[in-house]
Amino acid sequence: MDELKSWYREQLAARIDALEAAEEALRANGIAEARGTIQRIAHSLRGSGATYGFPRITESAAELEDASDPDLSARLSDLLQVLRDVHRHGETTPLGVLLIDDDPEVDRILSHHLASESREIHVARTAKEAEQILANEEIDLVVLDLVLPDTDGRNLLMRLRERPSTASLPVIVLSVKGTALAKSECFALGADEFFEKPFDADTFATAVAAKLQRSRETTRESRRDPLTGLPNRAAFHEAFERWRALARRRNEPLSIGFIDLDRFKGVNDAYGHTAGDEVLRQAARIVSASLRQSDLVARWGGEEFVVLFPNTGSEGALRALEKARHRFREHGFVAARSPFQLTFSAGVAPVLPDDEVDAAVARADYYLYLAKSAGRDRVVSDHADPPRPRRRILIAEDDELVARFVGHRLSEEGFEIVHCADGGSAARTIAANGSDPGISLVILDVLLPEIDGFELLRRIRGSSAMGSVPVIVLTVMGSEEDIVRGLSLGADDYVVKPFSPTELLARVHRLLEKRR
Amino acid sequence: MRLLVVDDDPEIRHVVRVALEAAGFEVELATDGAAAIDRARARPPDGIVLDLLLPDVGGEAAYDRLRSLPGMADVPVVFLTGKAGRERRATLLEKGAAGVIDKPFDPLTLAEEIGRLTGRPAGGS
Repeated sequence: MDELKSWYREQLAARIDALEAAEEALRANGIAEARGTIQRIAHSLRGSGATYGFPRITESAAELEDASDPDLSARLSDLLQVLRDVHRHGETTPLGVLLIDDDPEVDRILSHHLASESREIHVARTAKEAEQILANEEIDLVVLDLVLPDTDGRNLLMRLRERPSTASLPVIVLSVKGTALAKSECFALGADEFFEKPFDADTFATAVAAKLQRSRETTRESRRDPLTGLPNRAAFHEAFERWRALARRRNEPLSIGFIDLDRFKGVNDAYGHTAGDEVLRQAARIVSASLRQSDLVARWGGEEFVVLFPNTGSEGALRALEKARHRFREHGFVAARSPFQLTFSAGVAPVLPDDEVDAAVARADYYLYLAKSAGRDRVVSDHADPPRPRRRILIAEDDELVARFVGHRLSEEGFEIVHCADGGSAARTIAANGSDPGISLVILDVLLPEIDGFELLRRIRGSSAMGSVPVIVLTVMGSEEDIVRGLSLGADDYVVKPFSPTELLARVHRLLEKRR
Repeated sequence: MRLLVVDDDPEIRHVVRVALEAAGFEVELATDGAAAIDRARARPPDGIVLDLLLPDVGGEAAYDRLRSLPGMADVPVVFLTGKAGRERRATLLEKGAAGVIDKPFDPLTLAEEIGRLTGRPAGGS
């Protein structure tokens, strides 16, 4: 594996060259010219990075590949930075420590105590040397002796604090004993720690380690996903740890949901990435708005979102996501002036007390996979679904085209369709249904041969088995009195022809939800 | 057990070859769909590892053409994909792929995984 790793690091030189050329092209010729090349290389590195044991390359390349136009240049320079790091040092960027002291003996001792594989120690004997190193190297922490040959260490400290790039860099000041004034002065100037020589090397090393840790944390990227404004994956990881610990302590359930937009690639293909980005933004908003304030929604990557449901079992999480799913599928998206609709699939699983994030996500992902395989647009959880018989819908419609079209869409949704082309046969079906409430919803045309829709509606409402089954009436444009008559006879909803099947479906779902 | 590995990415070809050969597979490489079809026609392999994103024809098109070659109808094909997602994965399996492996993957378990998916462990014939 090590051989593979170093072989791969060598190959990176060519990738860096290619990306630098692309960066140049991006500057000179604009995004349209450069985007293809950049994405191709990013895609390739995304696949190979972690394969060779360099996950940071995969992460950074993924961000570049998925970047929207305005972010492209920034993500590109991020990836280049990572590639240069790995090419030079291997996976982890060493933390840079700058030691500014003119005494070679002190330098030797401190370098020895601070040395670690994850650190690179730079030594400067003068303020001037220190400035040079700061300009050219990545420095995460400075150790500064107050007495320097070319200047007072306090001047250097002041200069560091005035410069934005070094203003928050941790600085540990070293001084000789008995200079109490210097100590308070240094703190006033922005020193983070103050050590008087001679000092205990172990205490010093501990202080350096703590400061370095903080330094790295504060320089970490923002915790928000720039596109959707949702917490990003890193933020989710942290929240997950916290909530899992809390759930364990309080002995409360915790559930996780994993959402993937259905056929999202089609949106990008049909309307371009800008429209795709807009869809992701709206999706983030709709999903967040449908859930409780206490539920945490984060962007996992691409068109995937992950949700944590505190103090909620997977059954409750499933219900919450079902609600979000309905909101989402009813939302009208518009791109290039054409309206379209989208659905999502989701998986729900409980978070177990000893779960790592990845294990919990993988479990939810498994149920998401089942949801996708079962035809998408659904939420699946570990919680066994209560055995629900396939729901039957009676369509009483003499226009065969309408009946077929609606029937087709409904059966795609998993409903069983009973079609009657005239009022007579519909009435017989209802009568035959007897006390068996096998039909969960009726869609009927008011204009039917033999027995018209109104009469049919009267019989439905009068029957014991079907008295409370939801009924949607279909009327034609301009016949408002039919609507009024239908509703007064007990119809739950109406749809005016010509209608979009999606609209009808939405109503069917709404009525059935209500009855549940 | 001879595998034809098709990927345009030199780094991926390298690691796949190293991983598979270390496990005892015989490996033949191709960089694009056209080359893969030539190789498979000249000497049908026992299994194929196919990148989904090929520069010339695309992995799926290459898959269809490979399948239509004489004697290639039942040869197990494992896709390597950058970001296929569940959607694409389901489609590939529906088409008759033996499996789908995501990039990045773990080179240490790759050979075992491919052996399992193709039902033809290394060394067997």
